[in-house]
Amino acid sequence: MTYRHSEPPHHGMTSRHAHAPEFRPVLLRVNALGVALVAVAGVAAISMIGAQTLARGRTTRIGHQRGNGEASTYAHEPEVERSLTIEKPAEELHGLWREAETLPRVAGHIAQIRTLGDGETRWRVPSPFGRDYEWTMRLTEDRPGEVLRWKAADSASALLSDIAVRFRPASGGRGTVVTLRVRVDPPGGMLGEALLKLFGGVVPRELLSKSLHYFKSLAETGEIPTTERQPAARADTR
Amino acid sequence: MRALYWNGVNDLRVGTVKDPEIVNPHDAILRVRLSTTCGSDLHFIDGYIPSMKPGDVIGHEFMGVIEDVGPEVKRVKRGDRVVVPSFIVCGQCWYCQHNLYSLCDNTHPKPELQAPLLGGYPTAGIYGYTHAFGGYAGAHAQYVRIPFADNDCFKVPDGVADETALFLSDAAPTGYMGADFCDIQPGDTVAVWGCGGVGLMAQQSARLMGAERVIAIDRFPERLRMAREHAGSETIDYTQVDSVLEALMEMTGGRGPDSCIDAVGMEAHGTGPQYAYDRVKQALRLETDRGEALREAVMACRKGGTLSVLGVYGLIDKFPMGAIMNKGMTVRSAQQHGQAYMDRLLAHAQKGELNPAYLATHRFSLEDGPRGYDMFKHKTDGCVRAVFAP
Repeated sequence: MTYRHSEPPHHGMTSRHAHAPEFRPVLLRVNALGVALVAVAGVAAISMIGAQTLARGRTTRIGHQRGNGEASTYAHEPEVERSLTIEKPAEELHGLWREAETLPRVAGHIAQIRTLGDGETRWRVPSPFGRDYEWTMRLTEDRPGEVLRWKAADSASALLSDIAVRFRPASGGRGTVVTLRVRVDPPGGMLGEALLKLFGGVVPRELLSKSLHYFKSLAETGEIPTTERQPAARADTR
Repeated sequence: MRALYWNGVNDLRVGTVKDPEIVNPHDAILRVRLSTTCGSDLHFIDGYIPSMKPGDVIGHEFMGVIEDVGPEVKRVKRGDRVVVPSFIVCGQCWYCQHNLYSLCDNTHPKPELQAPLLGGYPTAGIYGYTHAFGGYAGAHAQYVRIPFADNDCFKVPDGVADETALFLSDAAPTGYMGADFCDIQPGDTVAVWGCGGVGLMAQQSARLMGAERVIAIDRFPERLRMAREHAGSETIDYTQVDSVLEALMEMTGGRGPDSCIDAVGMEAHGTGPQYAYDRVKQALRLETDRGEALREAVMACRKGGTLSVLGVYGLIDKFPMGAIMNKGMTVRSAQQHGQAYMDRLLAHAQKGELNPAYLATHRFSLEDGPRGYDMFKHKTDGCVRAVFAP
């Protein structure tokens, strides 16, 4: 797979990287010297994230300290992009992405998506702050083997206002590079931390990455890996 | 069904959970006949690796009988007695096509949890082994769901007993791969740190691949005895020598082992100040790993030799990179690519060349799973592996 390293350095995140709500073991503290790492659990994750933080801290900035000891360093950038190489021809991938069931399946962790027909989908993101976000995306560009693009029909309530999927040949005959570019642009603006709360603490570029991985699995194997409906000794068994 | 689950650090329980079901079209449901403990389970049981949730069914080394199959399963059928490697693989992606099965691109349901650990390149999912590695329900249970059953279930030939097949799920392919990494030439000497299930399998595999001498390093007399009796290894009890390095140098006539295999991992024990340093740092959570065995393996290896790392690590410091560079060593490592080795392993088992059943020193009902893990962890009564039958 190929990720493009096009984001500016401050675009990344540190301590809040990729935590599902039930997985928040990370307590990260960067002191004035930028060397102390204190973890209460999640040791391997901590160490790796800590190393990244320290590396970034030198060249960019160090997250400010919040009362609870967590460093708050997620600065939201509206344009998010990720790429992944998939071992299938571009035309086939374009066709798969156009199927009505694909978008709800590969982006179900971002929003509840309902297909309306005529290239329109209805998106809904439950909000912990009150009113849920709900809007319609409309297909605005469709060139087989090249690009698919949807824009929000009613941008006043859209969390995601522009979604583009582009296809180009991978080097070495290794299939197709699929690039997903999304404009995450909440109405009225939103602080990065608040935005993270909508998505269970997962940063937008990891949400996109997950969509691409799910799409790749669907394209290469015909199914998406899942832990749904599995046994576990708790209520939510995923 | 009944299942053994993680309820918190050092808190395992047995309880009733819902049965698994066919979710995806390539799934099968396996009725588990035997499952076993693995040293790598201790890392999350002890709380050294993150992303377990209370209630997670654990266990990734197992065999059983196919109970049901999904609509796209073609090669295995209800009633087949099979062994299943610990890593779930799709068989379609670039990594699977290149025999790098544990790096499969398409079986990790939660890549966002693994990204902080591995840089954003998700690996194959594992049964019952943390959510960062997929969060799949494990096999210490009456039933387990097997995704991509056609790739991941291997029929056990008649004449190969359940207890032999069981260890072809993880200990044997991991050890076999570790020996394969060493590109063993006739006359070679291979040193193996660790005489647990994986270490013993690595030693036997090295012999099968033509090593003239295998030297095993551990501290437990009964494990060192197994190494001598089952793998034909020479042994070093590291608590009985001043220096493992010097012992190996003398045993190899000043040449050093051609290859060194680390089958210990992040909870290594050792002696001396470096071990004390690691213990303190690990206790303070300043590093995850005690790396005594790995460091020793680097230092002991001959010039131009191979270091094969099978132990599980997170982040380690004081790693002798200079020795690796200046001695021109090759370092190879992976989680087990079991699917690549299974045909060979089953053939060895059928011919009696590899019989790992002796690892099953203690057998329990699934209901006694927590006691089994406790004995395994503390190596009580010479426990090498605790085996559970649902």
